[in-house]
Amino acid sequence: MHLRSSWLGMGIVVGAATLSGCVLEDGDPWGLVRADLAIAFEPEAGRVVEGRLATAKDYRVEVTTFEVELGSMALVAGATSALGFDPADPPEGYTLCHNGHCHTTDGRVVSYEEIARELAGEGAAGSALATWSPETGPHLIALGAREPVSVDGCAARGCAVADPGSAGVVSLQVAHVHIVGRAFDARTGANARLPAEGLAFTVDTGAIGVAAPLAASFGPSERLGLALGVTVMVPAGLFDAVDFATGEGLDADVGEALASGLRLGLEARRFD
Amino acid sequence: MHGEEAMKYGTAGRMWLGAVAVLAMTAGGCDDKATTEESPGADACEHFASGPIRAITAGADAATAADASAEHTRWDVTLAAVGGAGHGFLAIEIDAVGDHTFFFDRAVTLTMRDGNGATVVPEASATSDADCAEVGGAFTFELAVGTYSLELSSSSTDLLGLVWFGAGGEHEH
Repeated sequence: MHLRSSWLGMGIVVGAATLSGCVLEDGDPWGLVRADLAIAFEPEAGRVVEGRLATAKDYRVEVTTFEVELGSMALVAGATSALGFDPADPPEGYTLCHNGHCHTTDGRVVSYEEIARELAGEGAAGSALATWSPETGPHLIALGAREPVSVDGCAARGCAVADPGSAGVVSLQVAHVHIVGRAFDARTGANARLPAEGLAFTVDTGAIGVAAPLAASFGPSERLGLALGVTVMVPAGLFDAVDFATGEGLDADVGEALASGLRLGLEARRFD
Repeated sequence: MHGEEAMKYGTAGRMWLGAVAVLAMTAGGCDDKATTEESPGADACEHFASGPIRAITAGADAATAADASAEHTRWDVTLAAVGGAGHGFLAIEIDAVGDHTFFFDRAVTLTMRDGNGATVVPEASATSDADCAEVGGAFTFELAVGTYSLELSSSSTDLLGLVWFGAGGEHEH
């Protein structure tokens, strides 16, 4: 193992230890990483109407159960600059970048932040500097709430980073999302598509990988510790593509919305 | 002793923006402000000139309105001829509360209605834009999440250009 303090002058360390009669201990590693984790289902103002989630197709969704099961989380090595891009010369698949967004060759409009996340997702396959095992769950999340999740592994003192270098990505596996609810129609009278009592539904998704870029370096000129606050943010628009009146494609529509809309919010602090 | 120091960005949202700004500047060495502080009119002009371009034929009524939900796109709209004038309906889905501006390449009459058919009054309208000579009509609406129909009337049946997008943030009245 590389020792952070060894190259700084073992003579001084040995001299001090000899004078005080202490027994030499192993030095610090190049880095220590620890993490806290939470799941948030906090739509922006105007998205929740009388306790129900408003959708782009004029439905109001009452979410009675929203459960999330989690897989592993990792801090992945990689040069953060490799995840960046020049709007004047965007990466393959993106074009016409201006005013904070680009267009994709498959017809989407994506913000610079989304592109960084998409590139981060591609970078999530690198080697892990540190890994965590969140409590699997299922974690029950209420609409408008944020719930902490216990994390085993590098939660307390932290995981040692054995080699100097840079982190580029935080990645997390969402193993399964289970939703039970009832959809109501915001349209009334002759415009209504659902009965007044609404329509009960259940959604189950497959596994979803989420990643976010993070610039952090470990080495002789860096502070030892990195404390991460990671929040899995559920997108407010997870039902936007669902036409409840047709009753078709519910699992697929919500699964796609979560796959493209789940975000990792990151808060990072360095410590000695 | 374990002294902790918050990194530059204290919240998740600010961290994201900061990280992305760092990424963009690191990779491209470009002036971030130059690419993010474009006026709405200048943004619309870019799309009128460069697209992406989609052709669409407006519906005859709200029930058959053609879907024009893609923002930051130049829609080339074919209107039906009604007594020598152009007329038709488009539909859009809004996924974020806030101001949304609709730019046209010539003067039009626009009536916006929500999913229940109620008319939405524009916050502002104009027949030109200081940052885009192509604009002949512009309307800004504060819209909630939902589906809306646009009834369009024009003195001509020529192809009508439309670019629209949301402000993407909070605003002040």
